[in-house]
Amino acid sequence: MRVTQTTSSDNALYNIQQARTRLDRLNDQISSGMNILRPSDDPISTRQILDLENKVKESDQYLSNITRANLWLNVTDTALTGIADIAKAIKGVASSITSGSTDVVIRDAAVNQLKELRKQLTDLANVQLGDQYVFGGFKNTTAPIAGDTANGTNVVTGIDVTNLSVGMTVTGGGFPANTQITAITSGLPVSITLNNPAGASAAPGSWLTFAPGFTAAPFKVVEGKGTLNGTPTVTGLNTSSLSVGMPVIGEGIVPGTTILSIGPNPGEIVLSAAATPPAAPASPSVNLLFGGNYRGSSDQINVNVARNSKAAINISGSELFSGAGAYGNLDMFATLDGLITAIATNNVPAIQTEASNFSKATQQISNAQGDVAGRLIRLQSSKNMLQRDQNTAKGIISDRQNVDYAKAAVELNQEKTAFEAALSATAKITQLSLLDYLR
Amino acid sequence: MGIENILNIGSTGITANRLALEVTSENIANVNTPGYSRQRSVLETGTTTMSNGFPLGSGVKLAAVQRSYDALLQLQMVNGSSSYNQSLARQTALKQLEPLFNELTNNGIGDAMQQFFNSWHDLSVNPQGTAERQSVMTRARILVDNFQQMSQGLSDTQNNANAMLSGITADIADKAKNIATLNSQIRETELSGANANELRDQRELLIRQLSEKAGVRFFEEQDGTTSLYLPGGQELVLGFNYRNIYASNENPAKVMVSNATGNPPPAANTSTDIDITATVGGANNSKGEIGGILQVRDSIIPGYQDKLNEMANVLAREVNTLHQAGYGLSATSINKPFFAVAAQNATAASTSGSATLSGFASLRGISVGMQVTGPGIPATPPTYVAATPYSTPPAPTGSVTLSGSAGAGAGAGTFTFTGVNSITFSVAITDLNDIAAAGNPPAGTPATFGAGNNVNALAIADLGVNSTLNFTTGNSSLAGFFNAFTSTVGVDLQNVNNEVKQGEGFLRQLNTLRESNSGVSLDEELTNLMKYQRAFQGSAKVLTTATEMLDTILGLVR
Repeated sequence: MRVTQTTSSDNALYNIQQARTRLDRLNDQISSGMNILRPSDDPISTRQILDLENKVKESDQYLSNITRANLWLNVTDTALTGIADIAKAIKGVASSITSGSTDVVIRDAAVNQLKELRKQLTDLANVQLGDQYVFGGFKNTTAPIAGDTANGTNVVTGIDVTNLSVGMTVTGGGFPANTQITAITSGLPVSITLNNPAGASAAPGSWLTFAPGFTAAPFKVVEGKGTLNGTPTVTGLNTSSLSVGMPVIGEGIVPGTTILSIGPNPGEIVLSAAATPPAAPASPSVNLLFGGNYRGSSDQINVNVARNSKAAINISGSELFSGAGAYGNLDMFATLDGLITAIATNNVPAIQTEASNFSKATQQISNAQGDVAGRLIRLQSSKNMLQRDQNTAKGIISDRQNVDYAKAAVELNQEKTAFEAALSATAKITQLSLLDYLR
Repeated sequence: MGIENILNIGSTGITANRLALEVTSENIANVNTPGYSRQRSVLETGTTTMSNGFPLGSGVKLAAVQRSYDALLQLQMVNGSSSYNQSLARQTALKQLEPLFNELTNNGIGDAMQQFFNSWHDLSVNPQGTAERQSVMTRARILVDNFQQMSQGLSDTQNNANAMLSGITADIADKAKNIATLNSQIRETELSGANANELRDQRELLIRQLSEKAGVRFFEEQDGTTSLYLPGGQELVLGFNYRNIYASNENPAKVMVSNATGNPPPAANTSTDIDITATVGGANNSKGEIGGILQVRDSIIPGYQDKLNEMANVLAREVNTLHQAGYGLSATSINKPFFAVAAQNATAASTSGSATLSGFASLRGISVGMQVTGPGIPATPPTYVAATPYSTPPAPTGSVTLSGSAGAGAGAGTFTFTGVNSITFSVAITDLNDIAAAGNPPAGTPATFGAGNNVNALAIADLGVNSTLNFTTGNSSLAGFFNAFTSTVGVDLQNVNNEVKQGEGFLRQLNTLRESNSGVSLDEELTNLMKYQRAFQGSAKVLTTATEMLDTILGLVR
């Protein structure tokens, strides 16, 4: 085989090019720290790395979900501890007056204490995480309230004004844009006054939305003043937010009384039992409290804590307070209201029954606490498992993808030496020519 | 016989060695000329005469100037460079595409898709949150942008390939013309008895260069001309005549060749010229740069686009199905599709028992993964487009393959294709309240429906890890499908990288062999230079000696 200068120089160029390519690849790997820079470097490993990276990112999302779930459950747990304390306090008050008292002052003190505790209980039941009511089930934010609006008027009645304030924007119910609350009347009848009258589409029972930041509490206590006349009929009430079946408590009202019907006359309701003792319009009106109306939903809010694995992050108020679930069957608010009425009316057997009923609340709350604790443990174990999985995946990725610097450096050195040798040999060989020896 | 004989022999020596020196200097001068084959002077003794009873020579003569040339090597080089350049063209295109799929170092569709599903996870934790809703919207927009970008990147590469065709065909046409010209020069030179070594070198170089552009077969005719044939059997060069080859002025362009040879060939006429797109390109005939480019344009990129479209269709369909069953925050946000899906009609024909729809006037806008309804097409399970033809330009009687066979009622009629195209993929939702995080509503108006309901958000988030989605390649998750797709692109490029490397090695070996056979070695030529110079000097000395001898004899007379 003849070898010409062109052959030598072609070969030298080819080999230098090859060596350069290898050097460049090593340099790429070392400077990026990655073994596989492009899918074509190693398609099979690429697929595995991408799959594993997906898994790691997926786990990151589950871990973030778990953090959020933990927050919910911890808030719930704190609220439950507070609720348990209140339940204990209520029990304490009840036990101090189990045999009743003829002294109105003592009874009033107990009733007021219980009413105060009831308000605290309501506050805790309305505990919020961000703008979500933790005991509200799915209906935990924007449950709108119905308002009675009529064409041409700027007064809305029949709404709960607890969370409303002057200056809030109102939409719906036939009101034009930029309608705001200009005044709130909290005395009966409860109403709000707006800066615009409602338009033609106004109708009783329209949905109104209040902004900014209005949210309706899942628990609603409607206080109304009505006239008791010794019959089951109460008049002079704002009935728009009442519904049939609501428990009613108040002076002269028999414990366990509920609303039998509403109407037919405006402002009139019929109770399931006549007021006792003698219907006493001692004052022209009495305070009535309508309560126990859980307005949330009984749904469980689930989040993903691992692939195809969901965990509930909430305890629904219907289970905890209304006794509609596995924790117990006590309707906490109704029983408390019964207790308040019994004490107010010095109905000793009723005080004892209601107090004994209410003592079940502790168990109900502690069941819920146990459930929350169990879920927190489950979340922790899910978290541990996810982190373990993630570490394994990261380990494999790193094994495939991370450059072994020691190895790469040695290889780089070898390639460098080889490259330098190739350059030097090429430089020497290409200089050789017969011309140098001819004269 | 006498001293004049010595003078004669001396003068043949001077002439022959001078000629040999000329050949040597030609070799030295052309040491770096591409395609040059070294030439050797073949010297032979002059006729022998009997003198004084002894046979004596009459000097030397240059019998031939031989060219070192190996026809088999030329054939191998032509084939080798055709294959190599085909791989090279594919490698160039695929290397342009690879960054689109490089999820290892960049964030592309794979990452965008995961972020999209993660945003649904976040929404499931706080279904009424405006920030979470905004995040779903933003992630969805990024995702469709990624689809559009990749699709655009694929189209750009395809358009580049298309644009390159006219340059390549012009180059081929130019070379064919030059080869035809050389053919006539070689024939004329050789008929006059001269040798046409340099012209042949030029022609062989041109053939090698032409083979880089397209796969050709060549034969040397008895009259010294070389005929070239295209893969489809058409003669590209026949004697002094050649054909015009050009790319039609459309997108996708057709590769056309004039319907007869000539010098000059008939002017371009798209109605009578022959469309050779399928024979110079295509899966089995692809050779040379043009073959590689046609393969990229007509097969590789459409294949990738099919996969991309299929993924977009599956994503849009699955998300929309769940989304339309859910509820948003406002009273009107019911049954809203999340991604914009369009339906288009096309007239075609189905045959009972066959999974092929045929007789389309145009296949534009129909992509793999779209749902099909029409005469005989079963609705349950839904039938999807499984494959569209790769061959472009779309044949007027194009056909598509479906995921299922047509049944009773099959026939010609209007077929409806519902789905998305990755290039026009978009989000249909504009109002954040329309994002349906809630599901399974209790009786009642949506307005009373709890805003904390996250059932649908969970269902859509779970879609991200659902590994039983129905793809033409089998059941897979969206991420799994995309990762496999990425890996396919990687495998394709890795294969073509290997082909290029092998082709490079093979060509280098052939070049070394050619260089060994035909290359000029300066050492050798310098040696020859000295050899012939010395011989020339020797011959001159012979002449001087003879002259002196004559002088001596003439001196005797004086």
